[in-house]
Amino acid sequence: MKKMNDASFDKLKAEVARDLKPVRPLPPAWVRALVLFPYAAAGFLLLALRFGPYWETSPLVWAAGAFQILVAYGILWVGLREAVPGEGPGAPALGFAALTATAAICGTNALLAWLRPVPGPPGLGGFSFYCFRVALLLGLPAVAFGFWLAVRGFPLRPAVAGVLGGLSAGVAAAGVWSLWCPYNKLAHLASHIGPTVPLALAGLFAGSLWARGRRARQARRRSP
Amino acid sequence: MDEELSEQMGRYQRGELAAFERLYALLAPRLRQYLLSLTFNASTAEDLLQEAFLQIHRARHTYRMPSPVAPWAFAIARNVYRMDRRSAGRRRRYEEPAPESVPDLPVPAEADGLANRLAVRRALLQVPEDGREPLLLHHVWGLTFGEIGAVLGIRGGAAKVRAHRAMTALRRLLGAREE
Repeated sequence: MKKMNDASFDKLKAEVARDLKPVRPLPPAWVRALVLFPYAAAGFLLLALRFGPYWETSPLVWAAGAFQILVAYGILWVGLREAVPGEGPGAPALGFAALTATAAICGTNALLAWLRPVPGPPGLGGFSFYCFRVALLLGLPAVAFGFWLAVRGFPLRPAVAGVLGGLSAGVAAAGVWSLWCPYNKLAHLASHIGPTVPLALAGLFAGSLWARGRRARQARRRSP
Repeated sequence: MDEELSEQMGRYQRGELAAFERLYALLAPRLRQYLLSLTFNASTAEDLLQEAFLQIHRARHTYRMPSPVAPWAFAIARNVYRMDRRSAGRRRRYEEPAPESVPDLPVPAEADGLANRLAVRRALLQVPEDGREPLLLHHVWGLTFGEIGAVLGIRGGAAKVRAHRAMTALRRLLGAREE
């Protein structure tokens, strides 16, 4: 057994020596998650270029938008913690975080709809596919970017990191888009938050593919 | 030990091969035993150990000083085991060992005096896996319950409860055997 151990250690050492360049330790998750703020600012500028300076002036709407971006930051922070082995939150903590974030977002939108009621567009009870599409398009690059940030680390559960990246992108996109959309009817606000679901699914899909690839590479290395 | 591991990790991140060798010398015996306690098979555990060190190499930039190295390394090793178990799934590579071929499992110091080592190992095999793992991580490899929670993806309190239940079950099994 000792001979076998020595031989496998020599093989391992040779493999490590081939790729032993100095590496810079990854900054803490809370620092990496700060990238969400310039992203939100870029989204704001993009919308300003596309739709002009017709953003909402009500401080209440701005406060709601800022709060949603803060919640998105918190979700991304948890997602990026997932990218460091041994730092990922446990299942109960993840469930609690997801519930808290959902309650915070729903609560904020309900409060906004109650304090500043603006009727939604006609049809579909106020739901708008246009708003859904804009929020989705705003969130898609954020999912890709968040996922890239996560896999720059070493997520042990890439699917979980992907879902969290998708949730964060959806919530941030809703926060930014609500600064342009004038409607505050509760059913309409669902078309801002709704894209969070497909964005989280996109993150889940990307994470599962990543995990499957890593598993396949490991299985190939282990096969005789 | 923890300080040395941390220092060697820093040197390893700076690209020193000697630091990798030292890290291997310090970590490999513990990780090998840990993997053995999961796989019950010395040859599979050895294969997974090599894979775990490859993954440690790829993940070395995610370690941040001065946090403890052991939970980080154990989490990677556990993930290697889980991935292997998942891809091995239908090949039934992970079967409980036959009673006559008890693997060389580590024995918790608290249970060492209760019976001879072979009896303790046999009893350990009967302890449910979700309790055996935190029990060994705490009593054999000295991880705190917070660190065990991080390795297993559960709360530290839950890890403590599982380890306690497993120790109670182990004592009961050994007591019943002695009677």
